[in-house]
Amino acid sequence: MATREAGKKMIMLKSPDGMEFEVEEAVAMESQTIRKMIEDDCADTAILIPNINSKILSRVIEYCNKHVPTTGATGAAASDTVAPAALAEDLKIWDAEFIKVNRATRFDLIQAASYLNIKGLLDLTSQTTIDTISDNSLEEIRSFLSTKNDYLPEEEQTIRRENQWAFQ
Amino acid sequence: MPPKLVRELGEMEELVEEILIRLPPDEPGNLLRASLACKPWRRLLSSRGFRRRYRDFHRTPPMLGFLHTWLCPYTEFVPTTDFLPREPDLLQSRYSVEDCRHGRVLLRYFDTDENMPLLVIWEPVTGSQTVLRRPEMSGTSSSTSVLCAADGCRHGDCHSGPSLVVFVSLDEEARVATASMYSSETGNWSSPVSLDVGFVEIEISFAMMPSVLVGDALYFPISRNYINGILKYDLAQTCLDIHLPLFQRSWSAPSRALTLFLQSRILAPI
Repeated sequence: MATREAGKKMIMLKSPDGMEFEVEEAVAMESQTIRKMIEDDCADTAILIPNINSKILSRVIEYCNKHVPTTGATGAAASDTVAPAALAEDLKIWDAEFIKVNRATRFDLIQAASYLNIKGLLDLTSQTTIDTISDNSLEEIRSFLSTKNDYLPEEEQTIRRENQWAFQ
Repeated sequence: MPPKLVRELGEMEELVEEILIRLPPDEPGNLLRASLACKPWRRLLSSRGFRRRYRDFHRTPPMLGFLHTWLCPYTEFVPTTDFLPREPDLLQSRYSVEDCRHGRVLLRYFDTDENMPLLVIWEPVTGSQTVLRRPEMSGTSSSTSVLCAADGCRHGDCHSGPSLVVFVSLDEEARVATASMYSSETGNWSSPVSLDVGFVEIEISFAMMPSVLVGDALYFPISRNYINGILKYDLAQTCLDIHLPLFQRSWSAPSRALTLFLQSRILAPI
């Protein structure tokens, strides 16, 4: 959980299961949804984040803490001394570790990233699904995504026959 | 008791679009495979709204392939992704490519049954074909162009929309240029419009390069002896205009010179 530091404006986020998280405003504003609430003056005391439990919300805050820009009025001088390319590489490695979660957690993170409108987190959490669609057979895609195949066998055969290039 | 938050992706319809919109456009087979996962996904992927958002998200459309006739007796589609179009249903004839624009390819072939050349608007992405007769216009040289007919279109996924075909011919002896425009919405060619081009010399013909679309006009490169020029067809006014000479022919970079000229023309009309 974030601690109050001098000169940094803090904001309280509440999950529906009663947990409270005090975070820097700049970190919270990585979420475009929260940014809009703050900019519209709808966030005087605490912001309730519906449908995102404390476990997922803490992971989202962890992500935002890592990805908040370190330059400017709110940040330390980290990016003054570390080359941008090295910083990007460091973030990439961190992201790869961050996303090593089970499928249920990943889908919850997708949902949270979508609601809170955090593009980087949505890109990251969606990528495994994209990779699955790219690298696997149709049967494996259905199994991974737990989608119910509602095509009749002849319907599926027709589409496969007419678009053989996509199923080779 | 907190609500049950863990759900399978198949149940999270509101998020499926967020994920599928990230499928890379340079691997179009992924879109097709995803659409066969289940019918709701197919409906989503083929909807107009998704296509528009997908285009906005990725901005630059991928190059799916190119058509070539280099050292080849017939036109061939060379894929640059996993996409392979359904070939035009013209196997009895060899066809040539007249023009490509806005996801459409204009083909010409000689129909032996009808004993006449025919034009085909072929849309490689959908495989659709529209066969049309050439307008009855005399001439010693001709050029044909295809384009999207929709107003204000950004041409990301308009290949199933209305098309225009412009046919222009040059007649050396009559010293006229003539043009007619086909609309897929009406299914008809417009009445031909003519322009006295006032040639004295002969040997005027369309250059071996496609037309250029700038604003509401098509510009057809033409050659007369060793001078290059352009024949302009105004799509809005449906009229012809000619600009000769533009510059001495330079075999090293004629198309680049023409392109630069047409770009500059937008800023400083002739």
